[in-house]
Amino acid sequence: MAKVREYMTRGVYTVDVNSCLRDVVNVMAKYRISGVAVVSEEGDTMGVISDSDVVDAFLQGKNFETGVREVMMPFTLQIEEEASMEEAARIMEHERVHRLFVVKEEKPEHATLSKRYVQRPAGILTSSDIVRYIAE
Amino acid sequence: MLNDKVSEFLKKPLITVEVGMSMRDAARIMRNEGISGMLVVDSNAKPVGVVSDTDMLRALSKGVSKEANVEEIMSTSFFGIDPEATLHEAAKLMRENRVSRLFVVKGAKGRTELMQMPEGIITLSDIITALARAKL
Repeated sequence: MAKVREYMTRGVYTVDVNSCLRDVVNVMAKYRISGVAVVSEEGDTMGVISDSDVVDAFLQGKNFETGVREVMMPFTLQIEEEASMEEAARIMEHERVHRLFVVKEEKPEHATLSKRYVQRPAGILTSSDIVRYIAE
Repeated sequence: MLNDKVSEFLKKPLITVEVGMSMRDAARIMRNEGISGMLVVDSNAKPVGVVSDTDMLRALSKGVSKEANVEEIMSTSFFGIDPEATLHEAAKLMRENRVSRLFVVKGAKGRTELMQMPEGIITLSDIITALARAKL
């Protein structure tokens, strides 16, 4: 079975937790991506912002100056590198998201892959990686 | 903000696939074109559905074979918008209906019948592009 590590992108685009929507929009447009990780000064992953979160924020009257903290999902969904692509698809479908952060190993107490806790990700797996897998 | 017209941002020509194509071949087109969704047409070029990355990850999560035909995994409802509508209206329609793309059809607003080929398509990432250009 194909594994997440074969299709993931190593490294993750990030914005600082103290930045604003302008920074998020710029990163998304510049790198043509649909989501960014939000990190603290210490480099800890605090959450994630997707293109739909950004659009929702503007529709609610927020603006370019609005802080990332107000808009982000304050957690990330993670999956192990060694998990299968099918498992990744199941989590995305169940959680209704298009990206999962990939972590190297899962601690025994976190047996459920969709557990919501923060660990520094090794990379990211998106719905377009799922499409790439189906294409093969 | 987002006062530009849909007609200024719509993408054309539309990339379509015909019923009978396998999910794998459709995924190849999406991968090669760098897109996340396509219109599905019948042998008379009449639109019959939409297939997206979300449909594909759902199919994979349910164990559907890569050789399954696109019509088995596509969604059959279309959401449309008028070319003269603003990007703000487009963004609102996408988020209210939880879709990432709208087909551009004169007079359309929301769920719509597609009796002919739409003028083009507008996606959530086009909204981000527009925001990045505005950067007020």
